[in-house]
Amino acid sequence: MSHEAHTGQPPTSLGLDMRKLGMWTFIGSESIFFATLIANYFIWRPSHEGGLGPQHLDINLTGAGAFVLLMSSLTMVLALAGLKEGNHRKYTRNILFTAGLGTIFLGIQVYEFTHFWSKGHWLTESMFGGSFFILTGFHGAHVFWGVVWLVSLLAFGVGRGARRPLGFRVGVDDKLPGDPAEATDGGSYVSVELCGLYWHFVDLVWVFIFTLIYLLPY
Amino acid sequence: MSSQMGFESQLPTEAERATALHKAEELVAEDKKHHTRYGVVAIWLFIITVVEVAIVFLPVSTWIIVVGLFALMAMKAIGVAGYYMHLKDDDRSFSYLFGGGLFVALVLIFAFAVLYLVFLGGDTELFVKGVPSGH
Repeated sequence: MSHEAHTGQPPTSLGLDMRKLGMWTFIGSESIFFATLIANYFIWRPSHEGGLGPQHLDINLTGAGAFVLLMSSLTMVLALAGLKEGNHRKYTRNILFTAGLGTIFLGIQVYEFTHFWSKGHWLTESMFGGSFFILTGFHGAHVFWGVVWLVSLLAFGVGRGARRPLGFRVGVDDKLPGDPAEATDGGSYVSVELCGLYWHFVDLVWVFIFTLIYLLPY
Repeated sequence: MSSQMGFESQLPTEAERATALHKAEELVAEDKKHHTRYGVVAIWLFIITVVEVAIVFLPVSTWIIVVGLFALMAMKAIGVAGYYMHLKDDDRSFSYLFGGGLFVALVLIFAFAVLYLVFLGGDTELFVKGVPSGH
């Protein structure tokens, strides 16, 4: 079966899926976006003058957040594996786990922000405050859209048509993976894979933020 | 009768079925290997995160802590990008696209740091400790 028939998309001259190519280009450009925010943070890091400073950041709380996001990456990759196997239950369960863990991470961030806000620390307090809230806030916004994307995958029934190729024996061949595109409806596999790539990238950004912003000042 | 024979000729032979089954068994084994790998990577990522948090409280030189944190951060990034984002097994073009963006990102951070140092007249102590108010 041709690539176009599998995914409904014409292949690029490289023979690669154009949506995947687009997603990787987007991820590359997003890396530059977050690099500017991190550079901005480092430049303004010392300018807090008695207000919110690096010493106020709670690494135990954000360490828990880092763990939650890392585990969500595991459930995301397992969801994709479930879709590849044609195991719809495994796919749905792991997508829900991923969205749930993302929501827990957002809850931790909301708690952190409201805690600072209740102590009088906010975006406009100092240049440190501004650069810190903008960087972590933009990351939080990415996590939020990731959760929306994950939930919409289920809401719009992406991957619902995951099935075993015809002619396979129930109980024997239904555990055989086969060609991912063959085991799903059209471009479902790629659609979920794109969401997965975005989600892992959001996790990857937190790996950098956690070390550079939270751990390094200690 | 002839149409029945034609239909039978389209059925896979025993040898073809055996080859297909063998290939499928290989795919199952490969998939199981991948699943194990995802779990192992998750355990490593968890251990590295715990070590990262613990290392900052160690009574050792700041430089050792900084180098250690950067090394652990790089290991985590490789784990996520290489195994969970499948860059290790996927087409090289995706690695180049991501690597290109990452390279520009690192150059950007470096350029900002150099510009900032020039702005401070090359004062590295001021760079590390921070700019006093009104500077």
